[in-house]
Amino acid sequence: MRVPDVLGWLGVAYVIQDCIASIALIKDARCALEEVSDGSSGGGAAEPSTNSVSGGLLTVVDKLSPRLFHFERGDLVVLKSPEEHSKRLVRRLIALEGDFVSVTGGKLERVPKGAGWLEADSGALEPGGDSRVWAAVPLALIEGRVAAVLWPPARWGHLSPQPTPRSATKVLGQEGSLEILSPPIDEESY
Amino acid sequence: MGSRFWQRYKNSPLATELLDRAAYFTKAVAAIYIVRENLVEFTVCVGPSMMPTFNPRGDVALLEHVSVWSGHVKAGDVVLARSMQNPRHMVCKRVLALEGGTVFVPSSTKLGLGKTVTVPRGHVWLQGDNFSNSTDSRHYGPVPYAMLRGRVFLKVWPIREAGRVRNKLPPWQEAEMQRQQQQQQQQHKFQEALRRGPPR
Repeated sequence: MRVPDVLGWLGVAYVIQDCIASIALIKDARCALEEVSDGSSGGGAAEPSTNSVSGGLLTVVDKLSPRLFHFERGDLVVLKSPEEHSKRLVRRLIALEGDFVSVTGGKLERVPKGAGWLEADSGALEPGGDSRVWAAVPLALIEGRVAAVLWPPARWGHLSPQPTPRSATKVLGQEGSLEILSPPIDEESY
Repeated sequence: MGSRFWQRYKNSPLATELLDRAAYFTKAVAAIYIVRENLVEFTVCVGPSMMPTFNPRGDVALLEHVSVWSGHVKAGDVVLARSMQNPRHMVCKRVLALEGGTVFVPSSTKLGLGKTVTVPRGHVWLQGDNFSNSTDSRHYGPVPYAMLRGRVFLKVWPIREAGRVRNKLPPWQEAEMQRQQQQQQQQHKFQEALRRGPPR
């Protein structure tokens, strides 16, 4: 194979990882994939499972669904930080435009047009922040969806939409998709 | 059956020729994509919001991505950005202030009565040149820098108006920037004086 051939195929590989799917290492996996420890796993008490994800996660990032504007509540997404354009963050998409969000103790807030509410699995104090710090952010910042975990083998498998563990934020959805995310808000609070 | 077919024809001149063509085509498409996403791209600016600079019927312009990903966008540049209100849309606006800069927002907009807004970290203030008919940062607030796609630097069509798109600011924003610079200089002087202590 000649050099121009190799360069050409490298270009093709770049396009595939940019448009369709790529493999990415999430260094600080705590912010992204904290396990929801239900009673079903057998532990009983709410034991923090942070040790199981230390050392990073090798994941498959699906770049196609944000390009097709397919966003789902509960998805883990990769986005450009709204505070630092060169930084990438991994957050969970909790609410979409038109939903009502209620942060602990606060009043109901409507997610504006074209925006979404993103939260870190480990809590609001995560470096880099989340929507509890920035408020709702535009969906155009989202670059990919974390579709599956490749490395640690214990976590191997594809990811389905799920609520953030231990988040006190309540979501009142428009299309009734909220039962998977959080307990419904009592009607009189808004 | 497919594999038998393949076995029979894989060395025929037609098959190799077709494969070569396909490979060449794939690589060419990839090259075009890379240039369009990272270097230069054509765009059409439609809508009344950039009125004296671009006609509402849709002008063709060239935009470059280099100054965006290298972080060299300046106040006064015309940029193409993703829309805050609809992720499917792109908007063409002028950057009036970068992070830390201040903008005076007149009354009669959603942000309230005339007041001075400081642009937060990692954001820019986008505004159309046609102030009376533009949905911009006066409605949805400062825009994250990561939403910028590229800097519009050359107008291509209509051919009579073709030429460079200039970096310019409305006079009141220039005054605002000067005022801010003076303030910063004063603050700097004050801090210097504090550091040096009382004169002997």
